[in-house]
Amino acid sequence: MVVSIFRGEWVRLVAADAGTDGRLMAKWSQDSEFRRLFDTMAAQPMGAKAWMEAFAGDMESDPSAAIFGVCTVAEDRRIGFVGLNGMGWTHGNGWLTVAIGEREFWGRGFGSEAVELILHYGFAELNLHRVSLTVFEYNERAIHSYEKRGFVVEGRAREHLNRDRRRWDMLYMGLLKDEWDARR
Amino acid sequence: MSIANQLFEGELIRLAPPDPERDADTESAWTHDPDYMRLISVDPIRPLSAAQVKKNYEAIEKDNDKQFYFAIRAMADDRLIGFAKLDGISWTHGSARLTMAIGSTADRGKGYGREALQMILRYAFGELNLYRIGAWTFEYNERGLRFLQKAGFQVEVRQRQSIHRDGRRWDGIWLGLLRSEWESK
Amino acid sequence: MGVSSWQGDLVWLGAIESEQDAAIVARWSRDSEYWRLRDSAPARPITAAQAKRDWEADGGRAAGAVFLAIRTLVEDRLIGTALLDGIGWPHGFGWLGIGIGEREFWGKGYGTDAVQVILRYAFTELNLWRVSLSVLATNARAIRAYEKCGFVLEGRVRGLAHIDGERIDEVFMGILREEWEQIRHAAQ
Repeated sequence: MVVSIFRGEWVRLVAADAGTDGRLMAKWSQDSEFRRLFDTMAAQPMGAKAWMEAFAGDMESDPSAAIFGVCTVAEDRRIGFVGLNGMGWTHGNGWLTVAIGEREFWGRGFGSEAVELILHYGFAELNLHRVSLTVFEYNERAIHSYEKRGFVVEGRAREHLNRDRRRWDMLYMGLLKDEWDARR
Repeated sequence: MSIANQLFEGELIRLAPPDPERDADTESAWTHDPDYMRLISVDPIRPLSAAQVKKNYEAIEKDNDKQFYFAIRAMADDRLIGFAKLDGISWTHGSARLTMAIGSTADRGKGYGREALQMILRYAFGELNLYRIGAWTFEYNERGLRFLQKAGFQVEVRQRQSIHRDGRRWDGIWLGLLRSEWESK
Repeated sequence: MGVSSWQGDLVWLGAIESEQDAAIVARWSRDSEYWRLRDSAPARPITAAQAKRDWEADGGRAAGAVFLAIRTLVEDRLIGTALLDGIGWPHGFGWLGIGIGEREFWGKGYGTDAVQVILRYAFTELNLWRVSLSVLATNARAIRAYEKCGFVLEGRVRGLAHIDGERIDEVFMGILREEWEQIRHAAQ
């Protein structure tokens, strides 16, 4: 539940920081299941320096991206990040990205609330008209969470992924501002 | 007003140079307060890490002849209270823009802002010899509007529906204070 | 989607880039009246190289911002420049700036036409909510042109300009997309 624009009941949005987030991503990317849920890139452990450079590069190439760290309210523990990027400003659209790296916080509503906060940010501060995302067919937990937030499956890139010797679709989902407003 | 009257040392507060090493954490905390951020910025509000706050200061320091940035510190315990800056300076026309804020709600309404404003205006008119100071704010910042108007600022421009936040539109408001008006108060 | 949106009735707006363009812009800077009407920075004559450097400060422009040449439809002559910048994206506002450097084209509708082209870009391509501008209070010709395009007076910043010992106000104007649409609809 959104308490204020950066704060929910369980998590709050904090400043993303290439250094801190780079180090955490290095740790999380050791977990191949995390990598495969998050990324199309071949899952491989990557060091902190490489992650920091990747984040810094992202910030430079997409300066209007709004990426935040996700911290628990209870212990102020950094568990992942969430954000909106690839903004098409004239059209009012953006892409959602979210990753909860700490396994013990999966499936407990923390990621869900982070998504709720970033959607609130996108619709009430950036005044977007719609938010898009891609998600892998095998990430059932995330798909369910997005549907609960009102996202609609708009398309499927069939057999886009090849992992563990089988093919998987990548889903395209979208949420319009009107739909989000109606749910509040 | 004579040269003996201190420009930077007041009763409740002093105007101090920015000190990122000391203050970055405090400022970073303020940027996590959306109400604070929405008072001072038209850009999408973003919390900043201490490292980013420090980086911003580097840019400020490079700009030393184009802007005057002061930390507002409490005289009692030298605590960081807020900031006041003059930028957008046009030397040939004698004008600048003022932005100031008290970081924590607990510190507002205690006279810190009022004293800081008088000191920064005296600096602008008596040290920089500017002709006029402008300030830009938002229709939803009623407190800020009252604060400036009590000091003599007059509303000069209403930009209709300029700001879009929280699902509705607000006017953007420019206020101005001429040196002659300030001197006659 | 059909007609080129960069074309008006008297002018078309396009990229400014060539050495010839830069030389013309530099020539305009010799006209201090033109400069002072257009720019609050101290008037000074500049070289073509400086003119090019100035408009190439493109690195700082916001997404969607444009700085364009205004050329006549009839002779393809560079007569001025148009700017839409300072865009606040979540809010949908932008700032317009127009200057006609060739004096013989003052007061003949060329500036007004250029404004219309920029407004169309602002409202139908960038989907902005409003466009703002500021202009010297003594620039009656420009204020009239802006009013003809539908800009509404929103205030005066007192004594913002100090020119030849005189204090001159800066007038602020704005137009909302819905106002612009109504004007176009009424004209049809």
